[in-house]
Amino acid sequence: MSEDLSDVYRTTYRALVRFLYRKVWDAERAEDLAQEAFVRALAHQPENPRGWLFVVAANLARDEARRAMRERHHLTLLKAEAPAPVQSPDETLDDETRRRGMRAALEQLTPRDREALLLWDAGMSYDEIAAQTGLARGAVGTTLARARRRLVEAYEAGNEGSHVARG
Amino acid sequence: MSHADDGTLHAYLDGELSPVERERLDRHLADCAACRARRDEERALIERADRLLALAAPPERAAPPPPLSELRRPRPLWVVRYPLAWAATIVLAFGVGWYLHGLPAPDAEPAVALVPRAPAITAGAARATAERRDRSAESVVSNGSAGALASAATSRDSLSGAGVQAPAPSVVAPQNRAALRGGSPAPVPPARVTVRAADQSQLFVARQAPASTTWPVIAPGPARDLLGGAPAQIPGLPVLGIRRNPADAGEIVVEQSVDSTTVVEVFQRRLEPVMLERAQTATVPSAAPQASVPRGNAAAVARPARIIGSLRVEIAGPLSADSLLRLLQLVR
Repeated sequence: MSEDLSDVYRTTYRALVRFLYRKVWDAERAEDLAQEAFVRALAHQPENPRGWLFVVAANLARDEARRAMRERHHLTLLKAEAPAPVQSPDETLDDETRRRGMRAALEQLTPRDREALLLWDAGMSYDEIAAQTGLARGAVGTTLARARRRLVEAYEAGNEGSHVARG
Repeated sequence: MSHADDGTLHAYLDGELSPVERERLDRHLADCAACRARRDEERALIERADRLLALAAPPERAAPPPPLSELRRPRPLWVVRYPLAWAATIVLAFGVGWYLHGLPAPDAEPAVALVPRAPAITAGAARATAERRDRSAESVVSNGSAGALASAATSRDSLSGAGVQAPAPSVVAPQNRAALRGGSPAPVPPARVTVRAADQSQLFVARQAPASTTWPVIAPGPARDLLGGAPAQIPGLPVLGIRRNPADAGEIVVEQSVDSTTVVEVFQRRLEPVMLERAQTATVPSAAPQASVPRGNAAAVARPARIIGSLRVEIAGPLSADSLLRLLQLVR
């Protein structure tokens, strides 16, 4: 059983971190939460570890988001103390701008569209996405089509908005 | 077949159509230029969305993730290492024996009677105790509860071996308590035992609620208010967060990272005047059982502790006992 889990750990850890990162927007927190999810999986030995992990991770991220909302001030203070990443200023700025634009775009999706898209991006199949989100299997394609379209539109609208004043 | 809808096209491009559906759509696409054009559009859309999602990926980390087996397990030690219970029982017997042989009062027998499940070794230890019961104790004072006796014995164990990693107490303490409670008419309250160390600083070993990452985070301001001053921390280590013990309003923990995978927790509370006074006198009395510590909290562990100013500071983390002690000495 735990052999299964160590396989899942090897194949899914990065995807789980990526999934969590798009929810908490902090790489270290995403890693912490991913590890927390695996620790819980070790204790529970779920039958379908992959699906279970993503459910637990989504819940952890939701709790985290609530807490972050309350503690935003506090987190900002701590961030200020964190060592600066080793990157050239230009690169950092560029990456950071795009990441922020992407985050804003992603947050404009409905929760269900966003969840389906993030799960697909984490490597889940339509069947797994259906099980996870409660969507009918036949509706997953439609949901993903809508999510992708809105994501691209929102991102491009955001980019224009940053160059051209909106009126 | 009629024209394909968006959902079908995306499922097709994602490779998620059944073979039958896929074949049917392939046939339709061969005949329908409009649907082929839309398929190409949708393919471009998917690629674009994937590229955007890639922008929102966490920065690649040089370090690989820790092995699964090294992830922190929240399960209590003695459940994980149940096969070691027999060893714990023997250590318990020696611990009780060792404590008793330092007891000044001649009531060793009742204390032993509280340990009905301890093996024959205990009886031997008790006999040894009877022979030496005239010896006097130097520093350990208990509130008379059997739990305190046992933990006092094990705490002295870990302290006298200063610098030596002492895994025994954390394995033993819960065992002690379970075994002792088995024969005790009244439940044993969690005891707080204080041992005066030879050097300048006061070292404590105490039972506490388990270090918990589920405690609510608090801001530095409220933490300062709770403690009546700035929280103590290890200088030079990044602070990850400050949390408050939900079961004990006076206690907070400062989490600091030693490296990317090791977090040390600096627990602290303001000393109550009575405790401060006791800590400053040479003999160290037992504190009253703390109502805030849940009774029968099986995950109780011993943590090195120290008094800094008006704060009582304890340290915990996935490091050897002497590393923790050394870090504790750095706390300001």
